[in-house]
Amino acid sequence: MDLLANLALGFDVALSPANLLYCFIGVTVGTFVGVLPGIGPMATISMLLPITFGLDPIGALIMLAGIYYGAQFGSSVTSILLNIPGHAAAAVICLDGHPMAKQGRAAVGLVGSAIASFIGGSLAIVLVMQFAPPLAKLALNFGPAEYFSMMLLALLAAAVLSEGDLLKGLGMVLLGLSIGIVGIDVNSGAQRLIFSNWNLADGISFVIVAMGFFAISEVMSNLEPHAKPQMIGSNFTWRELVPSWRDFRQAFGSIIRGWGIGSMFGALPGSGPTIASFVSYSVEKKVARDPSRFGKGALEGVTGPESANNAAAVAGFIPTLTLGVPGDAIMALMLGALMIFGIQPGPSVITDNPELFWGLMASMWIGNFLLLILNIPLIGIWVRVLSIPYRILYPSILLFICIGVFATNNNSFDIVLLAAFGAIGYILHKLDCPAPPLLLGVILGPLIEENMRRALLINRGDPMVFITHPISLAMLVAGALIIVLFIVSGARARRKERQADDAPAAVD
Amino acid sequence: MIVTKDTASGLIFVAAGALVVIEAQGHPMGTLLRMGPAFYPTLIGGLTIFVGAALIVRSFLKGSVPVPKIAWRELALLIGAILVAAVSLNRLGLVISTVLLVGISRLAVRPMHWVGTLVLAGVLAVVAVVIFWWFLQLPIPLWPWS
Repeated sequence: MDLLANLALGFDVALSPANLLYCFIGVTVGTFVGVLPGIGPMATISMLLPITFGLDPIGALIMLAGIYYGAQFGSSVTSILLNIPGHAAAAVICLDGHPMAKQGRAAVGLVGSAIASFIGGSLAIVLVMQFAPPLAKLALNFGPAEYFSMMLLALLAAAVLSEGDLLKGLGMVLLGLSIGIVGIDVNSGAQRLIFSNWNLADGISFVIVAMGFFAISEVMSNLEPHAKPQMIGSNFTWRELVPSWRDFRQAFGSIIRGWGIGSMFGALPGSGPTIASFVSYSVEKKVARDPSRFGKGALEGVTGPESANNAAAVAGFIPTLTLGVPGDAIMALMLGALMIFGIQPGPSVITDNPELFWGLMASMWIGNFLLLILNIPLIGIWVRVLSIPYRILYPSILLFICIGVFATNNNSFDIVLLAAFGAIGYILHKLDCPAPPLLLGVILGPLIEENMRRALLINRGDPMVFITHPISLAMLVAGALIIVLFIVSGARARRKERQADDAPAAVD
Repeated sequence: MIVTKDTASGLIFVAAGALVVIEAQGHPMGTLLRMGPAFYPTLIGGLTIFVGAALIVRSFLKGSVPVPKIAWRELALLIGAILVAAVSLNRLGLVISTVLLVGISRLAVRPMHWVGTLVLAGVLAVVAVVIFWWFLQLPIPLWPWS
């Protein structure tokens, strides 16, 4: 089978001593820059890209794959330890990863996240090899109506996935979509919601929103006069790194489901890791025997999305390379970097440049593997970060976040925005309004508008187009089902609560 | 009247939605076939107002939890520290901005240790210079005169 030949070719390229060394350097530097709180994968990759210049294209690609994985993992580390997601998909990791850290189970979360991304990513490579050509063909059938419905599904899933209130989740999605409107409209040139401030002309980067709504808001919650910010992390032993049989059983299924979800969403052009992680989380919560554990440190809430994220990143190379449509901002950055090294996206990239394509696939695998080897010993060090007294930790976090936000555009107005979103984020957090749906809204906002416009334009302004296209209809039905299931299960839970309350009701 | 979590968040959503809708009216609306730049914001803003209103109505019908205490002093110090850093980074340079950011934000936690804070600010300034200025070569001046 030529699959094996391709794989052999890829590994042959990637396993030369020099390339292994490049990959190792990439993973190491990527991890160390990526774990700085506030410096997400976007900033890490763009700041470290120049160190790959001057290598031969394949060596550079392999180092880049290493940086990519290092940066991604670094972002998971800050998400779990400090509730600071470096990129959109990591916002999902925060939901259960950070509660794990607060319970002193940070090491389990970190190991789980590293292993889940390794398994999800490596299995996805197998899938990519098997199905790259037919998937690329399926993706071509996706029109604007399908994209619109897919994004709507993701937004609805995000609104219900976070703990609690559907109305607040929806409100936060809409608030995120509103933030996504800010900037110059690409179709008409209209300056929307920028109030004559030219710093807003290019829109608001989701990095700033994420840092404000997650990181600053988290620091604020810990600074409240009666808060107990000290997390449990000092009594770390190496034995904690070995997952218990229960952990393993819980995590394994979620990793496999995450792999399936990630591969599917990654292969679709325009969706990618972010949507895959959000969907994976809601699936885990749905299939769990006891959904109430979620948001309080459920391991599957970390491993599922982490596996989906990585599978989607790997599978995402199909649309990114064959159609030139990256799945999220990080993939867009990777695509830009690949183009610097002479990979021109197009349907023939796999056949024309086999060493590059398969070398890239193999180096993704090796990058992920080296990451595992490098980081398992380092986890002990990362966990010790938690034993730093908070009065020393938080000014350092603030400093890194401010400079990280500044570094993405070299514009100090972004730090002003950070302050604004931090204040709003803290207040909304106090009102129990969940931040992840808002973040997804900010990211998908411009895309959903664009696809809605295009779908209606192609179909002469007839809004029925979203229902008459079968794939689009299926996504809308799935979205409606999510809402209905949520309301029904919420009502049942409330009834149960009331029955439980009835007996000791005399107390108040 | 006690403001509840639901009414407060509902009011925020209504206000934000109204802002989006009103701002959008300065742009052409267009038609379903050829949407103008006002169409989508009006839709989104309208939905936001609707959700906000639903929250307010629900809190009147079913009640909700009172708004918890918000740590205004800490919030002001933290946000103030970030704003000072935003203004000073390009004017006073990395070293002084770091010291200002650390010093102001550290005031949020009592008791305040001046010596410890100065040491922390100094160490962080060195770390910031090494990582961001020397290693990652970000275009930030080090000092007011550089």
